[in-house]
This record gives sequence, structure tokens and C-alpha cells, in this order.
Amino acid sequence: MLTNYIKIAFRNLLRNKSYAFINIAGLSLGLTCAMLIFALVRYHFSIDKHHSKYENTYRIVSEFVSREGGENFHSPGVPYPLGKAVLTDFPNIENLSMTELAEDYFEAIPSANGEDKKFKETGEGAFVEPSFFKIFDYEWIQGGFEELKNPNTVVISEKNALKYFSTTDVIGKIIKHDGRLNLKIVGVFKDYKDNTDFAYEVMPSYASLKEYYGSINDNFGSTNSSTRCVVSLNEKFTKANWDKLMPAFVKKYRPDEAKYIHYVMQPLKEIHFSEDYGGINKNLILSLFAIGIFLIITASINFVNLATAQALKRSKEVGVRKVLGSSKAQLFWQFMAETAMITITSLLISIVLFQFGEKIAREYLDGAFRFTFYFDASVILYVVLIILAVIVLSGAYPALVLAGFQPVMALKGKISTQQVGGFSVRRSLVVVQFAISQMLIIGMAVVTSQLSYFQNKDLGFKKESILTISLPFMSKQDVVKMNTFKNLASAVPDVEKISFSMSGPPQSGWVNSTSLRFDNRGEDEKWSTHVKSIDANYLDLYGIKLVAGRNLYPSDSIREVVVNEAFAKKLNFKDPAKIIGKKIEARGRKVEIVGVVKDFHQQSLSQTIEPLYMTTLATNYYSVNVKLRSANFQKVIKTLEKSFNQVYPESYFNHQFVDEAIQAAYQEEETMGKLINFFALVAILIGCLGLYGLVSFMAAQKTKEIGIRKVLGASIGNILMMFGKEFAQLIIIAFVIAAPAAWWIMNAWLQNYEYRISIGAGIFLLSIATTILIASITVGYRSVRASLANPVKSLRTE
Amino acid sequence: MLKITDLEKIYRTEDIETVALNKLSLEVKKGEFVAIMGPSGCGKSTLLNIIGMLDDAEKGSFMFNGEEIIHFNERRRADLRKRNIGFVFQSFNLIDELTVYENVELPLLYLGVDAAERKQKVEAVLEKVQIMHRRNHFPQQLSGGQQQRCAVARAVVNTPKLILADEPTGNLDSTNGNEVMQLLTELNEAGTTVIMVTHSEHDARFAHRIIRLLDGKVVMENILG
Ligand SMILES: Nc1ncnc2c1ncn2[C@@H]1O[C@H](COP(=O)(O)OP(=O)(O)OP(=O)(O)O)[C@@H](O)[C@H]1O
Ligand SMILES: [Mg+2]
Repeated sequence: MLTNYIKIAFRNLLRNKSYAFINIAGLSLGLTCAMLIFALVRYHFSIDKHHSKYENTYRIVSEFVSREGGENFHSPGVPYPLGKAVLTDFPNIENLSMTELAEDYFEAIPSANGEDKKFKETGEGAFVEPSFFKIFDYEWIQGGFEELKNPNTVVISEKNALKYFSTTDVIGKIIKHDGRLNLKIVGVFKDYKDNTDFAYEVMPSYASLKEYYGSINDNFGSTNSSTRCVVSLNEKFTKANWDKLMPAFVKKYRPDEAKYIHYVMQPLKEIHFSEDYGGINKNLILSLFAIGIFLIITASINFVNLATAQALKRSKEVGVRKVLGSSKAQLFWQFMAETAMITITSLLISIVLFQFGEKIAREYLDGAFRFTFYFDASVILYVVLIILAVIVLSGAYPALVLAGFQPVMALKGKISTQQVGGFSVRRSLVVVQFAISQMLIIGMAVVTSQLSYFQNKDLGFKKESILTISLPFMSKQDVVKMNTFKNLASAVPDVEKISFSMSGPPQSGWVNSTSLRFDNRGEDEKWSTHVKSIDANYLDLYGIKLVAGRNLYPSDSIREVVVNEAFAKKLNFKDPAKIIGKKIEARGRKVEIVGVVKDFHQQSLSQTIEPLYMTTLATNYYSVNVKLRSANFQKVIKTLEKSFNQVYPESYFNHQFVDEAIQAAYQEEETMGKLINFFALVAILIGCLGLYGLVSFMAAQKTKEIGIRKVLGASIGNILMMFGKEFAQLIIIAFVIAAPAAWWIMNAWLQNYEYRISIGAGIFLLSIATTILIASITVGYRSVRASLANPVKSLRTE
Repeated sequence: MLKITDLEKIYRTEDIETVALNKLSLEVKKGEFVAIMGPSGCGKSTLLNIIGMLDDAEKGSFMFNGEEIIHFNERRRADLRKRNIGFVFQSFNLIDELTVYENVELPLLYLGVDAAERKQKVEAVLEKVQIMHRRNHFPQQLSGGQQQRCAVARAVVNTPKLILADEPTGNLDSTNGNEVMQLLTELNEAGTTVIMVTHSEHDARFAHRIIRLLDGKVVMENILG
């Protein structure tokens, strides 16, 4: 029996090639994209789950309670001495490791000829304590972690061992972290699948940190977001214990600020999506997931529409089978089997397509986030579930309709469109498709405009043709060397301007904030202010405008400050000029405010412009900002590199263009935007395919009606109206559903961004216009052909 | 074999009611060959469909092999049908996507006959109707006569006790028509009960008995010698 079903299904597909094509193409496309999306979503939801202590691992993070009842400030970091204090006070904590994140570092490998081979690392590294490896699971290829308790030791990944030494036999070999910290390799661990937020490739011992930094701010007063603390707990000391004891702990170590600081135990499973602490925006991932579901729904709707539309053609078969003794159930399962066959064919195609898609995605998304698909039992289960869902979603309804045909009527060919589920069912399905398409179009329009808004928004400073070069990271910058480099760089013909600053461009991820004592007030303000160390050329180089007062005078130490408008506003100076001459306390010194600069975005556009003051302090500069004349950038960079290596032979020439760096900061958004756009387009395309199929069917159905109408004098225009009116109605109904839903969702999405577009009528007009355009193109061709058909011919066939 | 008493069938559309069968009574004995005749619209097909359990009646009684089946649900009717009844239609009603062989095999599949027995039965019946050489052709590749012979083969492949034929020669020329009538006669002689609807007096003469309908009622019976 089954072979008979398969035979007939197969022959049917061959006979109706265009239907088969639309169904299979739509379904495979939908399944491929859905599988890619689900793999991505799964990746994000499987982060770090493979660690055996996943459920019991926590990160201690800092939450600074706003003194004015505003938003709290969050940092994934903790004060340097926190780890020791926690262990002393709570000896029952199972394991605790302090970690110090290393980004933007390089390793120098001493070679026989005396010159170091330098490897710039793009991934993350971290200084860790041995207990780190009791919390997280690592597999060791060589050595182990025990010796990491000693200073000047390091463990590295297999990949990096091979990169540095072309072998994993590297125990005892020396690498120089950032070219200056000697580390002996004591362990090589197996590369992890990169579904982890702790993908550190190089892990020097935490005990080496003092030597690396020269000195360490060993008090509870400052919190660096790179200094972190992870713990694993057991029943001897639980999170509940911590929550109870933490306030007293804070009181003990920060008596003055006990009310304003919380050290929170953040479960490992919450880390990946904790946006407050630098995690991924879960909503973006969920939006993608929703699109994945939409893709499947749209493809299934195509299926239902085409299958029910086609049902008429199969009515004779149904009739005959019933006459020959087939039961309703047998027919139902026969048509389900057909659906299953088409679905499984599509699945096989999409598994092949998936391989390509995965490759493309990996290349395309590289750098945006770490991104791995991998197949295991649960993925297969997932795919099976999707397939079953598709088969049931798309097969059940048409199969029920077909199996329910009354045999006498079916044989007489008297089954009408009404009986085939009624046109109303298909209509509502088309409405659903249109609604999905319009929501996606609105979504795409909003995401795209928001991203281009980011791209084009005036940040308040210039970013073109400006190069930043990192100076070596040490506790106090060597001013003499800096000036040597400055002189060498200024001599390069295409260098127009040069300036030093702490954190490079005006907008960067590196933000320092501090409490503020203003004027002669007896106590600190209740808010904290951002601080930047810049030299006197900085404002000019970045084109930051002064609205009052003057620029800083050149100096190597703290002499005076300029503030931004937000700073003046926060202190209730309506006229920024009035604040000139007032004093603030900066790093223990009372200095005068000499200028007010126009607000610029010192942080990402997802944040408001905070109060800021800027002052000169040469020992605190870690970046060189170089404005280039438009010329051969590559040549200039080469020359600068030479000069840099001359002055800092032990360091690494790390450079970046400001506009590129700023763009990179929005890479996650941008990639997500691109993904959303791409998959949304696919969903719309699949919808179009289905629409085309449906219209073809309608045209075939209405051939006789059209013929009669034409004989009775209807014009081609009249006939086109017949199709047009139908679909116009559906589009409008869909719009009424889609518009508010999309508005609500996208508005919620935009709330993530402090600076955002507003969703205007334009976007909705665009969406409905696009839908009408797409629909008329899809419907148009078919209906024009139908309307042009010779009525004599179409009537004769009846 | 079957006994129908006071059978009523009314078709209702929005505004009109058509009485297709009006208190019709009829009895057919095992091994009979009965022809049903009457003007167009008198309810012949309706009657045949009810006898074939493809349709149900409003009122009345329908005894099949001594069992009242008027209240049977679709599943039980399908079951009864596939074991006992073979159909031949005016428009052949072969499935276009299946070959001659596969079309004929279909009733056996629904009966769950095993493959070897299927092969043997299908080949035997194809031989009998003389389209064995066309076994792998699709219906569209056959002449009308061949298609109808294929349909007859399909109707009898599971050796039903009753064959229902609705104008089996209606779409055929006289030569092909006679061949089909010959087949039906042979089947009847082999013991199968045949009920045939026809407009042709010539074809009706193959039967033992002619029942004439008018407006959903039996108006006359002729017993042929
Ligand atoms: N599905 C239906 N809905 C409404 N009326 C119907 C339906 N089927 C048949 N009829 C009506 O029932 C009556 C009997 O129809 P039936 O098909 O049994 O006639 P017939 O004797 O087979 O005619 P013909 O010789 O033309 O095939 C007719 O008046 C017909 O119009
Ligand atoms: Mg009839």
C-alpha cells in the first residue's frame, strides 16, 4: 500500500511540476534558513552548558546604586582585593578564582637569532588562578594548571601552542606577554568548542599580575571592569548564604558606601544574556528565532494553500479510492504520507544547503560573535521536531479536506472550491502570510533606519582619516619616549596633526568615572562624572567645538579642566559660560574649569551623554591620535610603525582607524541587522512563491468564468480588477493586523537605544506600498495572462 | 442478496427539494442480472449509488445479505463495500497516475491481499479482459474500450458478489460496448450478481430482468426469457 502511495505521490509531483517546485523550493529554503537560525539560537542558549559545574558557577559582579534614584550602574568587574577578602571571610566557598581580562595583547616568542617573533592576538586572554580550572572543565594535552600558583607561569591553548611553536611539546618554553612579561608555559589545554564566554586562549597566572602592571591598586575603592571573580559553590555555601551575608561584607570593606554598592552573585547561566554586564541582547536572538518560526509558518502555509487548491484535481482519485473500499483514515494517511514525502525531500535538500549556508554564515559573521554550529543528538531531535511540525501543520488540513470528499460528488467532479476548505480558509492563510511579510518589512525598515542613524549621526567629533596607535600598557607612561615618538611621527609628511590621550578616540569602550567635588561644596556630588586625560591638541584634532571659555594649555600634569555641556547642565548652569572659573577637585587637586565643549558622544549611542571633564596628564596617556592627510595611508602606517618600533622595541604596533573602530562597536547590531534583513527577505520570497502558486491556481479555476465574462463584454481591465480587488482586500486586512503588532515590537526594540529614530507613518506607508508592489508583481503576471486568454478556447474545454 | 423497502432520497439545495427516490422497493436475488432503465433524472444513478453504499438514504430499509445496513457509518460501509461490491462507471474512473496493472491491483491492496496472490489475481483478470499486453500503460494511452475493460477487470479482481454498472457502455461504440456486455454476461454466468443501469434497450436484453423507473419509483418490471 505504501509503495502505491509513494508511486502516486511521485507521479503527481511530476505531473504538476510547478506546484512541486514551489512547494519544495519554498520548503527547502525555509527549512535551511530556519535550521541556520535555530543553530545560531541554540549556540547562544548553549553557552558554557558543557561545564560540569554549570549550575553551581557564579560570577561576582558590581552593582552601583544610583544616588539620585536613577539607573544603577553595572560592572562585570570587582575590586582587586575582593577575591582574597571573600575567601578569608567565607572559607566555605568551594572554589574562587580572580581573573584579569587581557584584550588587545600580543605574545613575543624569543627566537634563536635574538629577535622576538610577535603574535598579535585578537581573541581574549586572562590572568587566572589555578582554581579557575576547578570551576571550569579543561582537558590537558601537556602539563596542567597546578603550577599556575606561581608568578611568571602560563597555560595556553593547543591552537596557540601550534601557532607559536608548531608543536604542543612546549612545557618549559618562555613567551613574553605584551613583549615584557616573561612567562613559562606549564600547561597546554585542548581547544574548546567555542560555545563559551570564557574563551581565553592564553592564561598567565594571576600571581604574575603585579609584575605586569608594575603596581596594583590594592584597595576596594576602584573597580576595573576587567578584574573579575568567578566562584563555584556547593551546599556548604550557597548563593542564598551570599545574599544574606553580602551587605555586611560590603559594610566591612566599604563602610562609607555600603548602601550604594552590591556585589551580586550572577549565575553562569545568566551571564551570556546579561546586557547590563556586557552580555548579548537576548531580544535580538529572540527576534531571529521568531523569524525562523515565521519562515516555517510561511512555507507551511504555501503548502496548505497549494495542496487544498490542488485538491480539486485529485477529487476523482479520492472518489475512485473510496469506491474501491478505501476508508477515510486510509486516505488521510495517504495524503499525509505525500506531505511527508515532500517535506523529507525538502529536508534532504536543505541539509545540503545548510552546509553551504553554514560556511557562508561562518565567514560572514566572523568577528561579530563567536559562532559555531555543531550536530549532536539534540540537533537531530530538533530537526525531527521541526519536520513533524511542518508535516502536521501543512499536511493535516488538506488531507482532512481530501479524505472528507463525498465519493459520488467527487467522481462527478462536482467538488467545488467552497468544499475545498472554502476559499475563506485559504484567504485567512494568505492574510497571515501578508501580515507576516508586512511585519517583517516594517521590522527591516526600522532596524535599517536605526543602524543608518547610528552610522550617520553626528557624534560631535570628526572621525575620518584619524589613526590611533596604542602605547604600551604600563602604570606610568614614559613621557620622554612619548615625545621622541611624537617628534618622529610629526616628521612624517602625511601626518597633519598628532595628539595624546588616555582612551584614544572621543568615543571608546574605555570609560573612567569618578566622584566629583565641585566648587566649595562640603561633600561630593551625588553623581559621578566621566574623566578623560587628553593633551592640548586633542580638541582640535577631533574637531570638538568649544561653546565657552578656551582650550587647555599644554601641560604634562593636571593644570586645569574643560567640561562638556552635560557637566554644566548637571550642575544647573543654564549658561555654560557661567561655569568658567569655577573649581573642581580632580585627583586631589583643586583646578579651574577653563572651557566648556559642545556635547559629543563619548559612549555608544545606546547610552546618554554623561557629564565629563577632561584634563592633561601625560603619564596617563595610552593612545596616540594621528590625523592623516588623505594620501597613501598604507605607506604612512608603515613609516609610523618603523618609528614606533624604534622607540618601543619591546612593544607591538597596534593601530586602528577611528571610523572603523566606531563602526566595529556596532558590529553586533549590524550583523544582527543584516541577519534579520536577510532572513526576512527569504520569508517574503517564500510568501511570494506561494502567492504565485495560488494565483496560478485561481487563474486556472477561473478560466471558464473569465471566458464567459469576456464573451459578455468584460475588458482586460475588468478581469484584472477581479484578481486585484481580492488581493487588495487581503493586504489591507493583513496591514490592520501587522501594523500595530510591528509597531509594538519594534518600539520595544528601539527602547534599547538611548538615541533612536521614531517610527513614523513613513515606515508604515513603505511597508504597505512594498507589499502591494510585491503582490502586484507576483499576482500581475499570472492574472494578465489569464485575462488575455482566448475565451473561445477556455470555454471549449468545459 | 439485497432487499430494499420504501427507500427515500431527497436532495435539498437552498430553495428546492428534489425527490430522487420516492418510497422505492426492490429485491435482487443472488446470481441475477438486472438492468435498470428510465428517463434521465428518474433516479437510476442515485439508486445504484445507494446500493453501492456510496450514498445514504433518508428513510427506508436496505437489507444486504440479510443485514440491515441503512444506519451503517462510513467506515463499516467502506468495509462492506470493498469485500462485496465491484463498480463499473460510464466514465471508467481509472486513476490517471496509475498504470493499468496498478489500477486493477488497487482493490486488492485495500483488502490487504499479499503480493504473490495479488500478482496472480491481477494477471488472471487482465488475461480474461484481454489487456494483459497493456498492463504497463497509463489510462490515457488506452482506447475507450480498453479503458472500460480495465475498469471491469478492476471491478471483478477481488471476485465481488455484486457488480454495479452505471451505463457501462455509455461512452463506447457498439463493438466495444458489446465486448463489455459480453464480459458482464460471463461474470454473471460464473455466479456474480450484476445490476446495470442503461439507456440502451439492446444492452438491457443481456439481463434477466429489466426494472423501469420513473420519478424515483419502480413503474414496471420485465422478466426476460
Ligand atoms: N447532488 C445532487 N443535488 C441535487 N440534486 C441531485 C443531485 N444528484 C442528483 N440530483 C437530482 O436527483 C434526481 C435523480 O438523479 P440521478 O442522477 O439519479 O438521475 P439518473 O436517473 O441517473 O439520470 P441520468 O440518466 O441522466 O444519469 C435528478 O432530478 C437530479 O437532478
Ligand atoms: Mg445517471
